[in-house]
Amino acid sequence: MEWPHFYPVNCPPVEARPASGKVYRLVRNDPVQAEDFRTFFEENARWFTNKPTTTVCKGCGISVYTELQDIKRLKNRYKRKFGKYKIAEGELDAKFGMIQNTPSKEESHHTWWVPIRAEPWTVFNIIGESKEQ
Amino acid sequence: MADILNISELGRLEIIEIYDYYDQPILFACKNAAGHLHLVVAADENDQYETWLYARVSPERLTLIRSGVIDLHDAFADPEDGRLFQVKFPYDNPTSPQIEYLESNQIPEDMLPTRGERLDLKAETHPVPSKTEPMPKHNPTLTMKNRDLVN
Repeated sequence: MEWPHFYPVNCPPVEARPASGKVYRLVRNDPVQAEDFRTFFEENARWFTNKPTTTVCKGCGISVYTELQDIKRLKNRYKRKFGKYKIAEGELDAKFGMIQNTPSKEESHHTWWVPIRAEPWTVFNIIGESKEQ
Repeated sequence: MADILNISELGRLEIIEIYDYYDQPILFACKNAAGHLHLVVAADENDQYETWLYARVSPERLTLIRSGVIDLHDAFADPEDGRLFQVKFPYDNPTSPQIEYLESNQIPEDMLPTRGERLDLKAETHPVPSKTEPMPKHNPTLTMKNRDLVN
């Protein structure tokens, strides 16, 4: 599996497992676009100067939840910040990289490392408003 | 992108504990060189800028917030100082943030974490050092969790 050049060594970490199953992500666009999967590191590499490798590696991944209710709670908790975002659902398999459970306020938060040429936006769809309620 | 840890009025900040993470830290505690603690939250974003709130907290109040005695809404809506910093980072000039004090009654309700949302962390894991103790270092042997993402 080929990872982006900016990943530090030992990233993804050995604790990560091949991606699989249904995950949820907040996105700006409908339909989902490539820019919805940009990492914090890509958008703000300078922020990671002198940070530990584990922090950099985390920033090279993107956040997803495996429980719909958890991402709804996140969206609802920060209404002005995330209220405009939509919830997208995607089904992952091993060609989409590696994933690790990294609990945040909700337990089902995962960090997902996406390999080069994976095109994750092709397997994500916005969930309907009725499902989002 | 916003350099959320470099606010001139607050000094250079260091994250000591992350409580909520989505692609990046969105709710965390930090301290400046003088040892002053702040609780910080990502409050808003639009096409022009992103907005963060910085509420100064005492170690005792941070303990109450961490344990859930004070909910996340009130942690910002009712700051100890009676006011907090609102910092807007323009996307076209992120190194020149717009900083202003907001009195507690000036904070838009929907910029605050939802009422009733609270942390539930054990008091004994409190990361805030006493004035005579060094900061705990990141322990690389721990499983990587968001709260491990500290300097």
